[in-house]
Amino acid sequence: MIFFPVVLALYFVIPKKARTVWLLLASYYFYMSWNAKYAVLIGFSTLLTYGSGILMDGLADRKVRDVQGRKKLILAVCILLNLGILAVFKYGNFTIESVNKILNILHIRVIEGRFNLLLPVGISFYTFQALGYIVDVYRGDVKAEKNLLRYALFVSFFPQLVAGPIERLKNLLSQMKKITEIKLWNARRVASGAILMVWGFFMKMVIADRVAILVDTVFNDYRMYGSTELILAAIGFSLQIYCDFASYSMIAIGAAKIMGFELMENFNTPYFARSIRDFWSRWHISLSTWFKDYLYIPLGGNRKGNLRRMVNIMIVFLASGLWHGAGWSFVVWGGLHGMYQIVGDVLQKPKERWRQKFSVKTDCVSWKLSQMLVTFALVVFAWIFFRADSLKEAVGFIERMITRPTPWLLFNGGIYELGLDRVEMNILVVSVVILLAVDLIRYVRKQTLDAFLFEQNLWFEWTVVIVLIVMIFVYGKYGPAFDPKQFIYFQF
Amino acid sequence: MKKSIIRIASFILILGIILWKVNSILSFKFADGNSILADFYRLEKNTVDVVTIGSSHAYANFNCGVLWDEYGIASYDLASSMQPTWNSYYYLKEALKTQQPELIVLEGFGTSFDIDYSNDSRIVKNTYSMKWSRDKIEAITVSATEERKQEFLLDYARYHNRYATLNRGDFFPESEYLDSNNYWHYMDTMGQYLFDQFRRMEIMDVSKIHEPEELNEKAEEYYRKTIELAQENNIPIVVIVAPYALTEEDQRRFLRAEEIAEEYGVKFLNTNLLLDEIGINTARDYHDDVHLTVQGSRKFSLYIGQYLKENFEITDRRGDERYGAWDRCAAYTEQFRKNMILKNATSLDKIAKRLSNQNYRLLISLDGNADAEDEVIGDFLSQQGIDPASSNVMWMKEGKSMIWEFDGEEAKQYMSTKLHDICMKRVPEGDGIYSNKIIVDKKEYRKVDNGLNVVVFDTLTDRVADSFGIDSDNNYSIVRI
Repeated sequence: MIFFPVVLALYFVIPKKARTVWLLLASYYFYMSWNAKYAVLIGFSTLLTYGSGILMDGLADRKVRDVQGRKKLILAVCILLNLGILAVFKYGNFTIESVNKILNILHIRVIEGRFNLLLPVGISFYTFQALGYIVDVYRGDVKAEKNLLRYALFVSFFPQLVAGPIERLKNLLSQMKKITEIKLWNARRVASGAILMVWGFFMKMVIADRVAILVDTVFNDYRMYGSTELILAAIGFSLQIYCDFASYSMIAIGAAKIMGFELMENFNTPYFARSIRDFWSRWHISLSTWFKDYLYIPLGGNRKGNLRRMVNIMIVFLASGLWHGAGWSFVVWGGLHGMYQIVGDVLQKPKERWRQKFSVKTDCVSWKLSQMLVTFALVVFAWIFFRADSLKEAVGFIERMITRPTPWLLFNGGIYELGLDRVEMNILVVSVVILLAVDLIRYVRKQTLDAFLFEQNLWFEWTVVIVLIVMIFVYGKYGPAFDPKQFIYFQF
Repeated sequence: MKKSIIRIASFILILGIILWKVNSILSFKFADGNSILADFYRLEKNTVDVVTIGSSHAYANFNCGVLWDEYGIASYDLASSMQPTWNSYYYLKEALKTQQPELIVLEGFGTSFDIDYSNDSRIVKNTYSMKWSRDKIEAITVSATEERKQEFLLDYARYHNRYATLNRGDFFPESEYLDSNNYWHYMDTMGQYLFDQFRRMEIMDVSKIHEPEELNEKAEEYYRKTIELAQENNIPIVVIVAPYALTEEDQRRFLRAEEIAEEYGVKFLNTNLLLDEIGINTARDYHDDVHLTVQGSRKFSLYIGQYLKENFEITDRRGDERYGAWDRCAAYTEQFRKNMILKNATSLDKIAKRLSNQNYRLLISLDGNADAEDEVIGDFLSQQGIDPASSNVMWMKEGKSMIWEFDGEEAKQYMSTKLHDICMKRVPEGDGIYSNKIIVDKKEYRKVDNGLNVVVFDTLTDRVADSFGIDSDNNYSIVRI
């Protein structure tokens, strides 16, 4: 709460040339406030990718033999080392456990020991950002960055360091090159950033942390609940993870905007998606485009025939699942999304024939709405695997959802006994209506909240912002009576 | 640039005002702590002559109405629940910022505490209403453990989520209200809390204990600081221990506290040794182990007022128009005491006599198969100036005048007081049968099915003073439950 205003105030006051260094210092301080040791890791990744970039560019300039081969080697070493760090810190224990399970089946002695490491926050985010850079340099899409401080800031820029968006060199670094040109005062830009931050805090503190109570109550004890509560909790989690994750991106975008940087949009009304493919073009956009650019396309994308395309899709989604968490349930979650897409593609033609046969109107709200609802239901179903503590728990959860119907709870007030009483539930409903309105504006008018408000009369703009701020202050989940949850995406 | 600065400044100003208002609505207003200090700040400057600081023993026993009515002492009970000496010290500091009292009374219960830190609720009640200053920060940091200081200093974070418990007092803190613990608050009682239910108590005789025991180090440190603070400001201070069911250990500590007071030349009065002189009736004057009822506090304050007058110079302010609030306090306290007597009266005769109070509004209904001309009921109605021979079945009276009376037909009447809404109605139940209802603030008062149901609404304290039924099925017994 104090960190950002202090950083911002000094950022605007200090000489323009010192801005990069100041932001870099602030970023490292921010990161080290979790754990000072993490700085070594991010520093290492930064130096490694920076050095590799310079080396590759140097090769091209010196016209040595087998440039491509050497570049490939550098790239491979760089990627392997970076992924190696990620693998040890994030997937070490998962790998040991998985191998143990297989060995167990074969009655071979189990590997002893576990890594006793804390997962560094944001490691998946900055590693991917750095990897994106090195691949771009390898491909010759961009020149290697010569200024180490600037490059270090690109990797560690504090607003988006721990939970994205995962930025591209072309976008962010080019802005950082012009850091001295950023005007000290641009009221509209600052107001716009502030509104986005307010909206982010609203999503996080009023919605995500509130619905989390219901979700945790049911998921932690799902054997005590029937279908109504379980479905409600699954929908609740869909809301929670959206508001949690998108809020962080929103705050990052807003904070960066106040300082004069435009970060890429990371969430664009994902639950209004009309197909799973559409969903992934709206959900965590910076990650899905990363996977598209640096994994799907290198694998051959859709250029090598249908079967290969399907395999590529599955690889990307399984990798994406693993990126989200070191556990089989995350892999299944990713796999489900991959499967949804493949099945969707396969069914495309039969669906078209069926539509024509029954003369189903497709240019109407009801058709679009039904597409949205089906997509949402598929996404919610997949989220169960994401949220459940293990694959077994997820299967148990779904089994109960089907075999234990409790429809009467919708009518007799039973839903108020899931951790949120009537008052809390009312606040949640009102907040979700506000969320829906803001997302509808984004969806229909293609405007973010700040842009929409600037078009309105001043009284309306101010009323909306003040109402949001007051709701955060009053209804936000914080303070000693309630431990504010860490942003759940920090450790992915 | 200029335009945008004005714009942003206006926005921040509006937001600031709204958040300030939101903060004041959500802040804690516990009647046994926070509101006492908040009300103290609202008093006119330099009007209070005697400030009584301490725990609930101070606010429950030092009856400001009696001290005013009988001795013209303008006193205020600046106390808070389970107040340790360190909070008494800061309360005194706070008091001296707006008032120049002629005497400070320190209720001595806090000297017997053997704790180094307060519990959460007591930190809230003893510090959260203090205006922000260095003293408030110190008062909080001295109350909480090292690890938790910060948590209490960020006070808004602690109470922002109490929106589901908001009530009238949060929006109108100067009105009468029930706080979120169901404690009642009334501003003109000058900090005192009045109890109207009694319990028989066994009080240990501590007069034979003569061996003092050391006080808790922290309790002693701030006890001394409190005395020193008063003396630095040239204000006389007296330590008085109010009556309660004390233990032997407490008494030993009071002996030590007395020695310390003597070191400073300060008078120390342990009234637990003076119960007979004061006239405390252990069967009827205690509300619980540690507080007197309004009847008990009256006796206690009559004694204390006399003691203060004899030992200190305190100006008699009666007749001074700046002190209207103390007139209201005295009237309120006395009426509250009368209500207590009524509420605890068990014979119909005694009740009937008490009902002649000019402040009472009587709501009476004749219910079920009871007959107005029945001897006992008829007598009671006659005593209230109602003709038993009329065909009416519901009556509302104020003083001697009849406001409404209903006969057997469907009818209803509404009336509102300062804070309450009253309704009397006859509603059809089918088959030509009607039933009577007396409703105050949506709550129906009905004690008997056959007989008289009576609600006594006191317009001075603006509350239901008593409600009872006269059960014609059960030998005209008085039913209050």
